[in-house]
Amino acid sequence: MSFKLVIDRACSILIEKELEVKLILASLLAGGHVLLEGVPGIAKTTTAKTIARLLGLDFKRVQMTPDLLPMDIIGYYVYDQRTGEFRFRKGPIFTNILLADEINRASPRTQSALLEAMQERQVSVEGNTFKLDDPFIVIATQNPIELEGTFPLPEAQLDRFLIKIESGYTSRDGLKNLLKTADEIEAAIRDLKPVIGREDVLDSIRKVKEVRVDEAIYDYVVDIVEESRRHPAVRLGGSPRAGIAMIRMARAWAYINGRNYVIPDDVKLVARPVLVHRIILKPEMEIEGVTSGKVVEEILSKVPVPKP
Amino acid sequence: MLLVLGALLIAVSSVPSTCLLAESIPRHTPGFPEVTNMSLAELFKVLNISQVEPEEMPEESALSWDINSIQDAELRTSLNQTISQWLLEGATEEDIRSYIEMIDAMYRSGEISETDYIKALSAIKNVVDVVLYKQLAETVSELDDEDLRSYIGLLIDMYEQGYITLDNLAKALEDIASSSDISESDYNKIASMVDTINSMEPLLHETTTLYTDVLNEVAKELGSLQQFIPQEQLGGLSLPKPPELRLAGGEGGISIGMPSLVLPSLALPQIYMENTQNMIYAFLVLLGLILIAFVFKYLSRKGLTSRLAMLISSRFRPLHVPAGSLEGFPKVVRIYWSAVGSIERKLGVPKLDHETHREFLLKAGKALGERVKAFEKITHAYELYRFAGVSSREVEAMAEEGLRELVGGGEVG
Repeated sequence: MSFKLVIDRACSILIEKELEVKLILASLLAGGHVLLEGVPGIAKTTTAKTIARLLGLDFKRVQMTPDLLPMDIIGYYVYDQRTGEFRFRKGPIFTNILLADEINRASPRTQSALLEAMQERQVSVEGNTFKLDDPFIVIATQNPIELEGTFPLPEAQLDRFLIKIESGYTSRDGLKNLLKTADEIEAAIRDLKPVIGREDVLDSIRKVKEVRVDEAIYDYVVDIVEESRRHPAVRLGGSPRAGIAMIRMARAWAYINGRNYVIPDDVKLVARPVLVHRIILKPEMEIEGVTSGKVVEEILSKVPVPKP
Repeated sequence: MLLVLGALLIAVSSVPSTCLLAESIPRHTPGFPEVTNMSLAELFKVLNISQVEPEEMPEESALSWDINSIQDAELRTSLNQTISQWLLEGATEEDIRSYIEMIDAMYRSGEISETDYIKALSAIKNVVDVVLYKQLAETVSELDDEDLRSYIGLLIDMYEQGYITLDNLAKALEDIASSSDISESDYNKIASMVDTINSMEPLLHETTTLYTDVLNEVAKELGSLQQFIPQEQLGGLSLPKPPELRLAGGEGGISIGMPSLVLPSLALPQIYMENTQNMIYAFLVLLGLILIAFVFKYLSRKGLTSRLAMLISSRFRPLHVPAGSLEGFPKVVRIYWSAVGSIERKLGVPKLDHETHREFLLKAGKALGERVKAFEKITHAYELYRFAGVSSREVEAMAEEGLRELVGGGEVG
């Protein structure tokens, strides 16, 4: 299967990044966007670039800064002296895979413009509407540690990301391996050839929608979402959009694993990335060190799987 | 919170100690030692009756106290010899019954005193219990099925501790014997245990009745004696009241079932607040309770208590799908859950509520060994049927084949 080949190739270059690669691919197939949280230097950009190359898709990267304007991302009109007309100059958002590095460093105005574009999959400038490329996925990154001079994303806007991947450091062995092969990795990414094309990706997106979801799986997802609202540490639990996201991600996850039906394991695996940024904890619980990731794990170990 | 704790403490301390008497279950005839897990040699050592002459018996030995304190020398020697023989060679119901009849006849004819009669009955009753337990334990150890061995062992322990009667033990064994998945050899052994119990049960009952009757007579006599003593003389005397007789924990039990005195086993002392020392104790207890409350509060805030509770509940809560509830479900589903039930029972690997079929396969895989492939087939068939909506004959055949291979392994039935 072609997507298995993409994963295998990506994992042969990126060390200990299989889960991230698979989740980003699943998000792409589910038509959602990814918030990648992790400290600098853990191959967030490299991962996004590798996937784009292997899929034969267009890739652009924007470094978000406080002085970045919406037009710097969306595009703007320039006056063409030759023709005497205003011509639209497309911004970096007109791509297939957009890496918005350190999204929380951009001003709320710019963040809002980007997130609206992500949601609508089109931009309107000066009364003209421009449709974005298909497929389109934004991989936004943010640093969880360095918060000075940042504009944290509001909850409502966080909800627009289909998943949040909490990326961490590699293991000791992984790091050692990385140090040995750092130069080769760069060259390997440069020389990467697409394994599949844009049309294949679009075809897969269509097929993902046909993946079978049993009635019991819907019930299971509903149970998880409802339990997330009942948890004592939670101030705001999963929204209906969270439930929809879970089903879409579970379908995509099943697809990239070579199945045309969803099993409870798929739901369990995608539940954390889907819910972790949507669950708002009570302030006192946050102070005590409870994290939304731990809460999701608790929920999953409490909600019964479909039976018999 | 402090007020509540203080009030609680005062309330507890002000309750008269007599209200807090916890009636411990009298497990033995007073003075009779624990014999549950003793070897025969240890038992002899405690009883101190097999290797030495009655005259040489140390008085502190528990059962030997009963025998040694018997006034009638002939009865004492006879009891020693007979009990030693029973413990060494075993005893039939007829042997024991005829011996009891002989002692009863001696008592009725006035050859032996009331006290000697009680002591002799007590000794016989306890020995019958030991003989019965020994016979049951021996048969249990011969059972082929390990699960059955531990299960029936547990039942015998429950009987021995007085939780169930001998009658109930026999019924439980009959139920187990009627189960379809035990071997013929085990069936025969369980049947022999039931026969042993059925033969011994009336004997124990009769001995207990005889013993109770004679003790009641003694109690009645003591009660009537009190009436003849002038009340003014009673003021300076502490004449014991006749003991209240009761049967403890049913009639059965290795060392229970004999009447015993109701003795307090736990009594909280009343705290008199005018006593400074007691006030200090009360204060320390209060301080301890406050400390516990704070620790609990801290753990709650950390979310540790709920997590611990959740962990415990999920850890020990197997996913039970009763066989009856599977009626009407398709064959593949029934096969899967039967296999899961079997693995839970036979291998002790429970499927928890939150575990998926694949997670359980992974978990059970280690315990299944080579037969994991068979269970893999069943799980795959279940997955295809349950979640992929495939209900073809091939899927059914796959599940059946898996089940055959799983059962064919021998251990999982």
